[in-house]
Amino acid sequence: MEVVMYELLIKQRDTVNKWMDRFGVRFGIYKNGVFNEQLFPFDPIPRIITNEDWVEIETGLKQRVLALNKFLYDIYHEKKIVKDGVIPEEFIYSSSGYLPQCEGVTPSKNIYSHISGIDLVQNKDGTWYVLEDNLRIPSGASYPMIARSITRKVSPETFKTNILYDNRNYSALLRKTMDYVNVDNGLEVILTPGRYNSAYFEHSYLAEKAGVLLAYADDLIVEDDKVYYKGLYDKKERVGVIYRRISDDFLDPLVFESGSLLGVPNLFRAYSEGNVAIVNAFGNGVADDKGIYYFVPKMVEYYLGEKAILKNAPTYLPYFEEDQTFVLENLSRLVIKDVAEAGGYGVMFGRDMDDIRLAEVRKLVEIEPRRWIAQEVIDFIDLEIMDGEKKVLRKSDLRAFVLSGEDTMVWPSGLTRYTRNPHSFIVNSSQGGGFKDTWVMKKQ
Amino acid sequence: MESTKKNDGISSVKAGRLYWMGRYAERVYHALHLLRKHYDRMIDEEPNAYKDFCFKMGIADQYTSAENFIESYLYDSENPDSIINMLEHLNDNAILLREEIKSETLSYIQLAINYMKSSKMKGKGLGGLQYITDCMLALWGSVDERIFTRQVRHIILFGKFVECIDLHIRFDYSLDRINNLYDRLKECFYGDYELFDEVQFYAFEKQLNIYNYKDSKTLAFLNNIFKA
Repeated sequence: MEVVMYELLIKQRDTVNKWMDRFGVRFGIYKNGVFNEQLFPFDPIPRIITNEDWVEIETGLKQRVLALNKFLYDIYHEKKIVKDGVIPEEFIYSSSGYLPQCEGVTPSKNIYSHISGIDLVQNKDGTWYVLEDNLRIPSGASYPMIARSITRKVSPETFKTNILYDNRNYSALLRKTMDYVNVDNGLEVILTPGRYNSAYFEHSYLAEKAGVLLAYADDLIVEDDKVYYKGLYDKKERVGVIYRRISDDFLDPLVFESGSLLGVPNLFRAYSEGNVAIVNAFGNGVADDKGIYYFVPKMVEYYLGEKAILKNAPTYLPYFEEDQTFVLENLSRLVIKDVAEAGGYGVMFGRDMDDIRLAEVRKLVEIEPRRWIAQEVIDFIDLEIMDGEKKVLRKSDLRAFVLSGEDTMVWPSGLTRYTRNPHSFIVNSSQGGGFKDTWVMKKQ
Repeated sequence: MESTKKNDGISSVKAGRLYWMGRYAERVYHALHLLRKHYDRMIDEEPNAYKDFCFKMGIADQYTSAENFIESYLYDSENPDSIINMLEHLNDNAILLREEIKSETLSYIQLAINYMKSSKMKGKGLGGLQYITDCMLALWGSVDERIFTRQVRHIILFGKFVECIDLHIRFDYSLDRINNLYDRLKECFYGDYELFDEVQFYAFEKQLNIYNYKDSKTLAFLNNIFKA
């Protein structure tokens, strides 16, 4: 069976790529200040997740996201987890994602992270590890969604012989989530920074498939603490939910970055008055800080009274003296991450550093221990990709998407990203990585 | 259960993009059509017929020869009047309208751009560009079939017919043909009178039926009817 699905997809890959091109499946990057759009490299060999693995991943992800949502509510209200000494308060207040303006604010239906992108890797022994939680504006779901639409069209035989979950329902899950938190049955919009955002394809494609409006900052206005869409003939229509694809800093120039032209003045006020749902909520950055990541298994135990099903990669916090000593002694075999960075930036592998660089990094860790985490390098599995006519092995991860509305739903697919560089572990598209479809197999 | 809530809404900026998308798509289609007619004359009758084309089109004759005209007018991205530039302008509007016009409609524009780029590399002349015409016809089919919001469809079609009438007037088509197109244009109103400037509209109608429709004022009135 494996031969059938691989060979057919590989044979048809040029056709698949032509379809991708025709549908404009691109992402934008800025290089030397110039914006360029390029096709997101697609590899025809899918990542396959067995049903047995999926059951565990799905259960673990639901548990993790539920705990993270409880944590966010707690942090912006009673802060029991800090008072009970589970997380040091410094990790909350020194986080760049913590927004004091959100203190006491409860979002619609008490959901903070509606769309959570959890990055996972599978170790060679089969164990799945969580590498990162992305609770602000995780992107990438549109790519496997459109890839599946195209591959099913181009190679229907492949999907006759392989029994897997359909992943084209992501937009329906998104819509269901937006419907649930919608305030006063208002309009549902995706707020985009515009065409020159790296993920603009995704914004417009999801708007199309979910049947919601794609709005730009100028399309929205806040009056009497309510958000309106400015239609034709000066007609204003109430907005009930905004799936924003703009980060907190730029979303309301009157509260955050004052020079932002991408945001909507007074949006935060409308949100804090409960007159509009913001997907994902303001202030989520405090929970996906790489330093907070360390504490997620403890959160699961604290809020849910359960052991975390999904493991974190073994992580050390130089903030704790014992960990710092360990990190400084073992730096050459660990990976060091700057907690404030994302997108594969600020990641340093000790094994790639010479003695001078190691000494520099040691110093950085000593001066600002809160800024860094250190992790064991997980020897995660390589996946086959096509390199010209050859199959080669490359590192890859999986971004799974969890949608929290009336129910917590895990999308039975995900964005599998791979590195094209044989010596690299960095899979981010902004650093030249490609993507694969992710097949979650049904129980036979 | 699938959501039944409609998220209809068109901002004035979006309406403008829809209108210009319609105009540019029709301009690509019609410019190629008119170019073929003039090119036919250029083969063995009147090598400089392209000058007449430029004059009627209202574009500067900046070309050194018939060959230079064909090469530049089709493919030169530095030439603001070229077909490739029209396609890029069409795409600039359409790419911001994906959720309204649907990915399939948008794809015909991308196919046309890809084809133009590869035709340039292969040195294809006008004869090789029937595919672009086919893409534009497919685009109109897709507009008709896939865009369910009446107002969205009608604004695009309004742009299409304004462009079409404009070119028909410029290229001396008969009044009968123009009136036929004008009837199609009026079908796009559908009660959305606020989108259109009534004064310009009636002035245009008068030019067509009472005064000389070849008068330059006719085009000015026509091009100012849409006001979103």
